Formats: sequence, C-alpha cells, structure tokens
Amino acid sequence: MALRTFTAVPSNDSNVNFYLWTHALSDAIQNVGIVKTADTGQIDWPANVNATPTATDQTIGYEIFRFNDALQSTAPMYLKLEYGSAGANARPSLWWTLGTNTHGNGTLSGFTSSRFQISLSASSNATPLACYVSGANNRLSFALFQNFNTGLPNMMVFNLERTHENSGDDNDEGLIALSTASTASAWRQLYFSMASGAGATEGSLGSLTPTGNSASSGTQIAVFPIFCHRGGFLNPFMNALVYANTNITTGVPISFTMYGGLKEYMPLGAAGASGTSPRAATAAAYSMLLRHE
Amino acid sequence: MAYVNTFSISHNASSNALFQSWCNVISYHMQQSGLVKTADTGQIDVTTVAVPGTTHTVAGYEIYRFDDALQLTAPVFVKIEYGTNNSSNGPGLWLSFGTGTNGAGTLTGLNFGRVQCYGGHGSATHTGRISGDQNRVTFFAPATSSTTGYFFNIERTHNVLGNDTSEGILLLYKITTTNRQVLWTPSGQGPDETSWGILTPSTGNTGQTGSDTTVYPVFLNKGTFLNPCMNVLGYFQDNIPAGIPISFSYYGATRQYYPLGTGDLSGTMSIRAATPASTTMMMRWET
Repeated sequence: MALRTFTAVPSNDSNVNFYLWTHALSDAIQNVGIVKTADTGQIDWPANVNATPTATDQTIGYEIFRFNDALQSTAPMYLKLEYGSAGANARPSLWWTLGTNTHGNGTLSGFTSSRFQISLSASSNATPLACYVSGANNRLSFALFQNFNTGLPNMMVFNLERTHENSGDDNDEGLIALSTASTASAWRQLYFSMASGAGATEGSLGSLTPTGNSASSGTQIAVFPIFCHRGGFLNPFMNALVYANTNITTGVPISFTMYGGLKEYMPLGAAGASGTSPRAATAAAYSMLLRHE
Repeated sequence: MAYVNTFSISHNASSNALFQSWCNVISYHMQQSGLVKTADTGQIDVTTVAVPGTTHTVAGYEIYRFDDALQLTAPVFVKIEYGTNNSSNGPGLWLSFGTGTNGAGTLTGLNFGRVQCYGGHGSATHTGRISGDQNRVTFFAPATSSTTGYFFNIERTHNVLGNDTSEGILLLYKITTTNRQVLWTPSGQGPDETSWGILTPSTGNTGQTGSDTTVYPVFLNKGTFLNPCMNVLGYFQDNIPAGIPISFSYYGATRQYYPLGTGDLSGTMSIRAATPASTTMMMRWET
C-alpha cells in the first residue's frame, strides 16, 4: 500500500493545467498499487498536454484500472475513469464506472455500474491545492483540491474497496464505493455485487451521527462508519469514515484502530468534504476521514 | 415481573368525563407496569379532575419511581403531568425526571425541562399498548394517521451486554409528528434530538437480504453514542407483519417485540429512508 500527494491547480483553463491535474492523478493511482490495463484508446500522456475541455461536461479521455490482489482472478474489478469538465469548461470533473471486465477497447463489460460524475462545485481556482491518493492492490481513495473554495465545500472525493468480513478481511462478495457528486455537500454510495452487479445508488452516506455539531464526550471522540446495503447492511467501509469537524483538526493525519488494526486517515475538513451526515442539523458540521497511508 | 397489556383510549378532552377517562387509562396501566407510584401528596384524582379548558395546561400529576436494584444507588423518579395539548379539547402529557421528590410532587436532584408528549385529538377509540417492568416502560397511544399517535419509552442506559447501568435514562417520545429522544443523567441532560438515532438504507424501503430481515437499533448520544435502546427498534413495514409478536436475539438474549405496523407512528423512524412512511417501530412485548 502506498500514499501519493501532489498539488495541482483545480482548473482546466489551459492545456497545461488540465494536463497537470489529470496526469498527476493518473500517475498517483498507478503508484499506489492499482494497475492500468492495456485497453486501447486510453488517454495519451503526454500528448494530452495539447488538449483541454472546450465545452461543459465534456470528456477528454479515459483510463481503465484494475485491482491487483488475489481476489482479482475470481472477483474482478475494473474501474473506468474519465477526465473532463463540469458545469463550466474550466471546472475539473471526473466520471467513474465499475465493471467486472473490459472489452479491451475502453468499454467495460460483464456487470457494469452507472457512470457517476464527480466535479468541483464551484469555478476553477488559480491556487495550487493539495491532493491525496491512497491505495493498495485492493483499494483506492483520493481527495483532490483540499480546502478548495471555502464556503462551498466540495473536494473531489472517491473511495473504492472490496466488501469485508467482520474481521476487515476482503471477501469476494463485491465492491463498495462512494464519491462526491457535482454539487456542494452531495454524496453518493454504491454496493456492487459480483453476482448481480450494481445495487441501488444511494444519494447520501450511510452514516449515523448525533444531530448536534460535535461528537465528543470527555476525552473521547467518535468517528462514524459508513454502511452500504443490499437490503441488510454490509460491513462498513474501511477506508472512509465520518467525523465532526470540530473534533479533529483538518489536514492533520490521525491514527486509530479500525477493523482491529491501526490505520491512518486524513481529516478532509469542513471546506473539503462536508455534508457526510444525513442526520446532522448542520450539513457543514460533519466531514470525512479518508485512508491516508 | 414484566407487564404487557392493551387498552382502549380516546384522545378526547372535550369534557370532564372524557378527560378523566383518558387520565384513568394511563394512570391505571402505569401503576401496573412495574414502576411504583409514590406517596407524594397532591397527586391527581382521575375520578374528579376537571379538564383545563385551555391549551397546554396541566390538570394534575403523578410521580412514579423505578423499583429495581439500581434504584438504591441510581434513583429515578418520573413525573407525569396530565393536561391538554395544542387544542383545549385534546389531551397531552408532560414527562420529567429527577433523582428524588420532596414528597409533595416536586422532583429533586438535577432534572431537566419537561418534555411534552401528545398527538392529535378526536372521539375515536383506539387500542393502545403498554409494556413495562421495574426498570422500564413503553407506552403507545395510537390513532389513525401520522399526526395523532403518541408514545414514550423510558429505560436505563445499558452496558454492551444489555445490563442496566447507573449512567442515566434513555427517553424516546413523540410530540405531534416529531420523534424525539434525549438522554437524562443525574449530572446533566444530553441533547434533545428531533429525530431518532436510526440508520436505515436510503433506497428500497426494505431491510431484507434473502431470508435475513434487518431491524434497526435506536442510538442516543452524550456526544458519543451510548449503547442503544433495548425496548424499541425500527423496521421496514414490508418486512415484518404488523401485530404479530416476533422474537429474536438482541443484546445477547431472545426477546419478544410487537411490530406496530403502518399508521400513526410510521414516517418518523428513519430520516434517511427513501419513503419515511415505510418505516415504523416495534416495542418490547413480553411478560
């Protein structure tokens, strides 16, 4: 497992800026344990330095990735990432799609999910911002452009992992994924079964928090697991948790025991990834801890 | 010994006789529930009490106490006040807690602001339910729509095994269409939350996978979550037939619950459910 961080300008306003954030992300994903397939038609680095979106919600190119763990042979995961623009040409955007196979030309096959867009919720920005990519051969998490546009919380956040046993060990049942959407504080999560494909897309995270803006008692601080369901709940995400912003310092990694092992997470903060609690009275009060090791 | 019973109740305070009947039903079953009515002076006489005739007005009170082993070291006294709701013709309750009483109806020790519990009103008669023991009581007064049923559930906090602890009291209650919950402790009150601490799926209106059916515990908090309520659980109406008691293991032991089904209490169990009316609650139901 590995961690990659980089800074990039959250903007498609020039060929160079589009290239810098997309290529940095692609490079980081391939350096944390995820394998890029040999599919034809994938985005051409570095030739793409000469391209940037010229329209809204426009895709410039795609890449296909796969897990590289022991379960990949019996429970294959293929991820298609598309790079482009959101509601404004210069506003970065991604699309993610899951499948159990690929035709080899960039089209996923077998069971496939819907295509989900992730984008910044506001206009592009000229300031380079921190981006985090954490992964292994069986998981991928990234959060792009930390503290982008304070007051309009929405980093571009994505997390994909296998379903788990009670112990936290991966199993071959399926995948669980979550991401931000294209508007501020909007989230979605998905259970993807290896036996039947994608379940229903949920428009909120399956986390239960207090309604108040803090989740501490004495010296104890609560963090909140996120549950996907297939009717009944699955064991929760290992690599993403919800927390109250007032309880944990943004941007300072924190370690604690999750699923029986010590793990490190990055608190994304109110300006990064709020709106994670469907029950909280104040949406901005709760944010996300994303695996960071 | 645990107690369960049903009763007929009409949410009607339009005359002294109807109001007395309403008070009497609640008072009688509370006294059977396993809690003990104290000897405080000034308690309501349900045979003579007069309806207040104005909204949100108290006509009288009763004081109950727990009767379990923890009562010696972690005493709980419950004051129930009988009166009117937001209509002068509609009945309503107030609940408050203390660690003692002055013998004349005033709770002592730290006690937080009273909470009011009521629904709508009308002349129809409904079948209510109560379940209690020396350390808990769940009261359910149904009606015909989501705007008019009401209930409360009082139980001690629990350790992970489900054994009662001395930390405090978990209170669930309903006022009109809002389910509320609050932790009370002798040293302070937790947040009075305006939704129940239940997490359900947001899609599908079902908690089933194959032959497995999910029920949903209710969590209260003191900042961090406490162990959940033992005597109330949420569920999807499509998954469990209403009115047929169901048993399953909860907190490490087989316990029986009564699924209340569709109607007056639905729509407020899970704020995350795609169709809130698809969720409802089950209450502990065993003797």
